[in-house]
Amino acid sequence: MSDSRLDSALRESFEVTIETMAFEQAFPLDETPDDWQNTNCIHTTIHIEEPLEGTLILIASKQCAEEIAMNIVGPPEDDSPIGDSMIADTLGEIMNTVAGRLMQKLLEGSSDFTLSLPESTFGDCPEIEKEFLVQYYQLADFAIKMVALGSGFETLE
Amino acid sequence: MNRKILIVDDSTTARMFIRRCFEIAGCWDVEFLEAADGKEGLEQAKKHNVELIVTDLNMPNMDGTSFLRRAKGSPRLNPVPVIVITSLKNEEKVRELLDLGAEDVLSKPITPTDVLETLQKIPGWGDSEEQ
Repeated sequence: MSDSRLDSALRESFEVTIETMAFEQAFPLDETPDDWQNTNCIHTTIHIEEPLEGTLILIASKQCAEEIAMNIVGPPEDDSPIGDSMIADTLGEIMNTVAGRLMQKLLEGSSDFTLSLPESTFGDCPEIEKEFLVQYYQLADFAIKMVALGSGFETLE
Repeated sequence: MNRKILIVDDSTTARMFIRRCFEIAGCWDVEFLEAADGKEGLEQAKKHNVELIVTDLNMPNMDGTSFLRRAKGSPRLNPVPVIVITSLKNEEKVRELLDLGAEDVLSKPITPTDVLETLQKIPGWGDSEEQ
């Protein structure tokens, strides 16, 4: 799986998006990090609706998501913690950008495609069934998980 | 009086990021206005004397394509250059947007260099430092 088109295109899309928007380098990890936890997370989902059906989910700890949002939008003027809605908005914009870049690469820029609006949820991450591809990244002091699922991706392999 | 740029995107993060890219590209003596969808964008554009519009495509209520079509169909807004910044870029979509009157179509994530190169192609915005 690690040599697949989807794997390399998704990795490139995520790395470029994070580097360009958050000025951070995302390093791919070969294995599930030992300290990975599905609790107190934010999971952001975006659906690819045409020309294939697929879903991308980004899972990060709340602290990691706060750091990313802070890097992109800066701290609030009154030094208060960055709000959940801004964190959700930031991760949504990242996933919108990642999904778009991924589809441009997979379709080689020649075909139309549509994306849903991203949705973010805070809390413990639910069990995800039928994961087609799972990637982990190290982002500064944090691990972050990217999941691709959906029958549409299988047709690309 | 400062020139006005309207940024239309449903994401607050995207609007802040786009604004920062324009500032780094030299647009610091500019007033930035914001709208969260095409409908609000049209209202803002008509209310204020905007000189440049930057819009996303994938938005609720009124998407960027409809917004562009409406803006270019309005005698008042027709001359205002519109830059589309989208994650939905492909050859077909670019052709459609350029045919509708978009000045340029940029792919997310944009960089200040992308903005600078696009501004250089737009009459009156070529050297942002001198605006």
